[in-house]
Amino acid sequence: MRCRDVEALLPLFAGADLDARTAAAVGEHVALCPRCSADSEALRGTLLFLAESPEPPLDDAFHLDVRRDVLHRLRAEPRSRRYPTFLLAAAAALLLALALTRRAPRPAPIAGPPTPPPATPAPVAIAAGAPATPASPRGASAKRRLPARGRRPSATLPAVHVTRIEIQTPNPHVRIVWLASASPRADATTD
Amino acid sequence: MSLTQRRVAAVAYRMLGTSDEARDAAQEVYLRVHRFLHRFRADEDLNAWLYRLTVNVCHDMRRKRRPSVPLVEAPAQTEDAERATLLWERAALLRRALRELPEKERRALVLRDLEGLDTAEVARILGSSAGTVRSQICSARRRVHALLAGVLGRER
Repeated sequence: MRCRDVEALLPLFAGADLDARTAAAVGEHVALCPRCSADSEALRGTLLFLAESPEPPLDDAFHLDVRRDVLHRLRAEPRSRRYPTFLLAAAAALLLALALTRRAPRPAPIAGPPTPPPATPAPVAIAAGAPATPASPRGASAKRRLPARGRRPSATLPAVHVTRIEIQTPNPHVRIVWLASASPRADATTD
Repeated sequence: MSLTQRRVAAVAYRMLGTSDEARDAAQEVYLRVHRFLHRFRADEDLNAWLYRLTVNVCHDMRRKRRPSVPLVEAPAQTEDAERATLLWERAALLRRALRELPEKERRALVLRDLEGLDTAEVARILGSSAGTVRSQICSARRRVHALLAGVLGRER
């Protein structure tokens, strides 16, 4: 080993932080080189100074203070300190769920309760064969009324009202069609 | 708490340089212990965990604090005034040397050379490799040596 290589390792050599092989190689050089030997001794002196450095001037009163303050702060701390984080996470999850729900195309409302007019024409609810008076005038006015496919209102069955309800799912290619029959009295009472 | 408090406070003092900051740091360490005790694994070394918390708290405090001139703390009053003065001078010299080290080197040096932990332990505490810690310690010792060389030479 050359002096330049040894100099780079001397701080670790002085503190016994080298692996055995490297330490042996450095030791061999230091034993033969007066300059590196002197440097090594000086570094040992520095490490001795560090090792023998006085403990920080922190007396018993200091430690007592720390302990008392910690206990005081722990008592003052609300017990449910973890809850705010938990509540925040729950609120964030709820908001995310709401946002996702609002972004997804809304399924068509099932005939019945009055609903505001849909923003997109996708949701379609068709009530075929329903009586002249719709279940909800406001809701009905917003809905597109289309004739039932392949089915003509039959004059022979005035008492049975077939309601065709189509629900557009989030998948544009999937639509749920529901044919339901209801008595006119039942429809009339929904108003 | 009383078993570990002295080590925690000593490391905090050496990392931060004043007893006031060491007090704040020690308090924060034990509050974090209380808060994160559920994260402590049974197979983990408690001292290493405490050292890690202390180093992190000191790092946070140093980052947040405003740059200021550290107060010079008076030597402790003991019967042997000469010895007290000598100790005080050495402590002041050490504080100055530590203050001039970059933070990563300072924490490696404090744990290795002042707390007497071995390199592998220091690496575990700091979350670094042993090679990185060795390199930091090497550089820190060289800097401290350069600063102290004149003083130690004069004392001899």
